[in-house]
Amino acid sequence: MDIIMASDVKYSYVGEEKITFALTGVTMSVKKGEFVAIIGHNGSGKSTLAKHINALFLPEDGKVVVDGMDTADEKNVWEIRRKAGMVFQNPDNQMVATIVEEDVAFGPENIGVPPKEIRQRVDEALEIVDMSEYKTRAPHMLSGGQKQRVAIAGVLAMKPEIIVFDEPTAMLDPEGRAEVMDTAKMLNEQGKTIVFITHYMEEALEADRVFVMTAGTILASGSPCEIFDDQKVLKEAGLAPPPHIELYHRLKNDGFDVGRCPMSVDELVDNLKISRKPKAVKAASWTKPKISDMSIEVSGLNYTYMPGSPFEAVALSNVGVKIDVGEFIGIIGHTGSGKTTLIGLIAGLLKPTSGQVLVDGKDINEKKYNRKELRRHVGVVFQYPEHQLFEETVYKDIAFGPKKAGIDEQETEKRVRHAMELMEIDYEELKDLSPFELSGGQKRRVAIAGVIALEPEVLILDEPVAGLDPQGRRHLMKLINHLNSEGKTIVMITHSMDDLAENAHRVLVMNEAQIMMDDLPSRVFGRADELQNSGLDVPCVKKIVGRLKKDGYEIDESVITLDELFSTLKYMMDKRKPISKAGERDD
Amino acid sequence: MIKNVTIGQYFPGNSVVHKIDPRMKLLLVIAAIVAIFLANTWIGYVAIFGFLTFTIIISRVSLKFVARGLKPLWFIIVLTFVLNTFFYAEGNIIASWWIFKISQEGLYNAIRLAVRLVFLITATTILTLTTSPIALTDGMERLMKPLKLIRFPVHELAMMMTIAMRFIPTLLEETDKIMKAQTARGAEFDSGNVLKRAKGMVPLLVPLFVSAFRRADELAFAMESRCYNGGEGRTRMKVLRFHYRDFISAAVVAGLIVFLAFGY
Repeated sequence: MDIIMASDVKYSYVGEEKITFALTGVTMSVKKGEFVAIIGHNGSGKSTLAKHINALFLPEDGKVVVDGMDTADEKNVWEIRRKAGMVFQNPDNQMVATIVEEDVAFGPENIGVPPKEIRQRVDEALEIVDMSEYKTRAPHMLSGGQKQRVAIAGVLAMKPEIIVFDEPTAMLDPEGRAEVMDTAKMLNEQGKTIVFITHYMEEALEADRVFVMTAGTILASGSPCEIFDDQKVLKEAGLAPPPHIELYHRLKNDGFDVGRCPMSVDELVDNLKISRKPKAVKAASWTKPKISDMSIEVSGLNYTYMPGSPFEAVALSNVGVKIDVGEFIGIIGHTGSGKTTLIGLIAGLLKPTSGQVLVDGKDINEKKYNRKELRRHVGVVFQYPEHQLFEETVYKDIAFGPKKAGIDEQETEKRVRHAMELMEIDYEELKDLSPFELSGGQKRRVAIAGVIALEPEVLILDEPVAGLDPQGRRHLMKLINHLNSEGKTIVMITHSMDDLAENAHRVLVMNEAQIMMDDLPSRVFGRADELQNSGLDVPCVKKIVGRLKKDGYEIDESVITLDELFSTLKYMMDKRKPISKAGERDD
Repeated sequence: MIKNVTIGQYFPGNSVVHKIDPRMKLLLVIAAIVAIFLANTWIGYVAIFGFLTFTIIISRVSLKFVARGLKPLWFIIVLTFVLNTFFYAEGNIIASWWIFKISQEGLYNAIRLAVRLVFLITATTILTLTTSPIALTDGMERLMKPLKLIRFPVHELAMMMTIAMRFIPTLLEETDKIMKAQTARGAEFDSGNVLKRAKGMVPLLVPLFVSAFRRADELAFAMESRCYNGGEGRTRMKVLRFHYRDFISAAVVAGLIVFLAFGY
């Protein structure tokens, strides 16, 4: 039975100047008990569609039927909202109460459930999502993943049939993402119908069925295997498959027999027909370009939050690191390991409890030190930098930093222009627009341009690609990489190991307020067990290499990028099938 | 870790005073205020002093916190005292200097007023120290329920207060983040004259407002999707019930009022 049915649904947002057609005729249906994923780039209409399932939006044209009830019929609204619960992207913005259990009770209270039964439902719901021990806590003291689990409990307390997840993992760290995904899968096993919207293709692989959206309609639907096998659809929808599937496509396009689209690393390796031992690859060597002698040197750094209070917490303990101009350094570590504190100290935004931060040989925490000089050396882009945009126009916002630094009008304009070029924002077209009118990805690039315009030698980025869609992520990573090749030192905090595998020259691993490793990416990620023990993942390429090693193939440890692995595998594999044209579908 | 700040001045505890039903506690504080104004004699003041001291002792709230509640109002207490001392020019003059005269009645009056103020603040401080903001909102909402008859938006007000309390830590954290980000771009928040400072706040306030509106928007969707439809037909998980301790505390305060009303 189809529990959700949408037929030719149209919906548009009417703005002051223009009308945006968000849905241009969506027809889809979901069976009871199914787990479906909806993927698509930003603005493809995923969230708008999700809000239709909950009767938050009503179709302008067409029809949405949830469990036999037409959402357009006013008397059904409350029953539909109860039956189809919704979990949103931002964990903070969906909690109403100041105590976890009160928040879970919010839904049942609204529909007039008797007090005794609410108590029972709340306890049950918190038990299911494994948050019972936190029931009297304040929501703001929880981690992102925990908050989302509380939000799920709030939906469960309404006894729904369907749960719609609207990008619930976009703002979470890998640990939180896994928590939410596991909970969704468990609820599906218990019989709930799940609609899961996501930007993470790995998550879509877990679904029974995948819908691909673009330009307000459904471009394709099918099993994850079918969808990810179809390069044309992925390209048209602007989606990037997970690395192991990309490797599969590349091998297949080159004429290798690689079986069906692999849902996991293991499946990929199982399907490879290897006939030769790997040859030693020459490690792609990177020599530090000698651009200037500027360096950042941190030694014996300690930082304690709120010392002497009951909330005292050691964020950094005896940290030492040296950053040279020209490098691309990745910093990884789970939430709370001290990454953000470290960059705050390097940028002079926090004062160390003890220890030194030397920038260009000078201690930045000395009284005489000139802060303006620090800004010339170090620029910081924080998480979700678009949240700090404030000026009337894009130009003014980017020019804010240079102006504050006392740079004259002419030079400022030159810098703004250059920064926008580097971030691929059209100067003439966008400089006079309000930054608030731009799309999510554009806003982020404008915000980063605002820091680049200060022309710092070292650019520190805290999770620059978080929350972007796959296309936006790729684009921004390309731009950051380009900045590095132009000579800018990049220090990037990230949870995306694949991005680091492709781009970084050096990786710092932080764990429990200390630097646990500081080495080449290939060596750091070679220590998979240690990383996994401290809750960190390894890049997909290393997973494939690890699995091949287990099968007895000694692959060079320096293999870290997809290109390197691709050429290694090409050498090892037999080419039996005739070469098919790249990008062509063959079933 | 700015998010660890506590809202209000709630001092968590498990005493009888903490456990009194918030509705009753609110009513009792109002009664105590009445009692403080009824008191006219020194014996009356001693009685109230005794009552407040007793309450503080059994609530096991540290005296330091009660004193902290008084701190911001010291100025007003001293000012009232001074004004009353100097400008109550009738009766028996005990000292005079230039245009100022201090009369016995004036001095007596000033002391009385100051004592009353201290009592008043202490009584309300005990309330806020022993009642969590949520319980307080809850109690107010329920006490004000009859006002619904005259279309006073009781539920809406309570909901607003709850949401405000829920988002204060979130917005504080956000303020901290934006300040750091703008500082890294060269913004200065604490230098220059008043005008410059006010202008300097723009890079902080605009993003903060934008974000607050975005949050409000998303929260509205989240609340609607969870069937929120105003206070109509809403039930509550936690039902407040009066216990015998509520009646005993009511009896104590009633006794105090009777004692004061009959001449002390």
